[in-house]
Amino acid sequence: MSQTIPQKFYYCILALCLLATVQQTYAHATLTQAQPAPGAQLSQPPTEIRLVFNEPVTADSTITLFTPNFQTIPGLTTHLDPAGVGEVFTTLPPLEPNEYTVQWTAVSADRHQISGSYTFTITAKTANTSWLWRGGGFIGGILVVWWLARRRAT
Amino acid sequence: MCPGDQVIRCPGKKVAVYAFCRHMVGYCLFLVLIAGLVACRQSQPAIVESPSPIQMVLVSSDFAVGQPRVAFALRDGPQAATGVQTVALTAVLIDGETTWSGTATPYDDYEIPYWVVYPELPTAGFWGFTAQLTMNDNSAVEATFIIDVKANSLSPVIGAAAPASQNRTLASEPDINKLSSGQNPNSALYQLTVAEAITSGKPTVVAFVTPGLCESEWCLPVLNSVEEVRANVGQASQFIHIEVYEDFEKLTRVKEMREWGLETEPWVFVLDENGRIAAKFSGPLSPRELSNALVPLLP
Repeated sequence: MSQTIPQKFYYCILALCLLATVQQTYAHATLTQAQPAPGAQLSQPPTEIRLVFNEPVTADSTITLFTPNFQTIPGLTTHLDPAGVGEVFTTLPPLEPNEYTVQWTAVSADRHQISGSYTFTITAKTANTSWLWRGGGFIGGILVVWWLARRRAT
Repeated sequence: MCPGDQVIRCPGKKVAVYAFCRHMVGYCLFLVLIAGLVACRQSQPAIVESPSPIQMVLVSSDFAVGQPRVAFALRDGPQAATGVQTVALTAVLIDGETTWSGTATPYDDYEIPYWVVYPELPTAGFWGFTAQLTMNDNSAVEATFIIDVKANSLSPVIGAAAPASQNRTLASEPDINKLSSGQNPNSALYQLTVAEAITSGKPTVVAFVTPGLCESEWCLPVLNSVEEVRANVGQASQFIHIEVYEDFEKLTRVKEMREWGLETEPWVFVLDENGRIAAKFSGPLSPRELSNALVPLLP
């Protein structure tokens, strides 16, 4: 016998009720994306650090940046990105070539708190014409040897 | 002697000028060679070692002066980092001179492997940790983190008397599903109050965990560790589970969280037969780490 409309309606209501009883669960936030990425080697200093977690985090979450001798880069303010769930960022001042550690603390809506850290590096700038100087040095070396040999011959 | 405008065609002067020019050519070539060598040196990258993609995740809390338990996990992307053989750490008081060094102990008998170190930190303040990770292929990577060490711990200190909590048990709350947010709670964990346990003359394990409302890898398995150790030691010790939340909808915390000074969870305390704190653990706790603390207290 086919189900009557009221029976289908009741089954839908029952299903919705069952779904409604599923308890909301919480977890410690996990870092899923990071810019700069852990272990990144950058030729240009980044202008911001942006972290994405697997769940919403609160404004109590923080991002700290420090150098290998634990000197904290001052003036960083952590912001929640309203466009991204679980996304926080901080803008950076101009950074010198060095290795940096990003230390983050993520505070979930249920007050769970977890911290983590990773490093990235800004490499020193290299001269665009370094290949030219190196080539010139090699040729110059050859010519010096040739010149000395000519002097001895004469 | 040749006229000034005949210098180049004058035989004597011509020889002298030619000789001078030859020397100048040699000097210029030598300078080009030196410049090339300098360019070679300057073009090398300033940073010799590649930074590690490994992340350090701090999974314990409440760091205070003394020897706090610092637990951390190592991540490579979303996965646990593998191939880490040893972790040697040095700690330095930032803007100070005090240092400490030691080696972390791995615990891989947990859902996610983690490491523990008990650094000697005699001064409150910010301490910078440098971890030297030796991989299975003998390569080395480095990671750093900072912890804020407080003058006093929020939770009961080692050696202090445990708060004599009158936590809910099956005697005061017959509905076991109100005593635990987990599935199929073990009634053996809801028989005693802490106040009763600390006067019993037996060691006690008190676990503050919310198994149903925290499904992360860091906190959910703690109760499993407690159950596993309980199965091994039997009646020689007592085990109490205190659910973190009194109301699972409103998420109001039980009063015992405030009595014990706990702002995070999970927490596990090991009490000796006199009801004093013998060990305390925040964050992940493997069966082996718990057993190492409890077994020496057993009769």
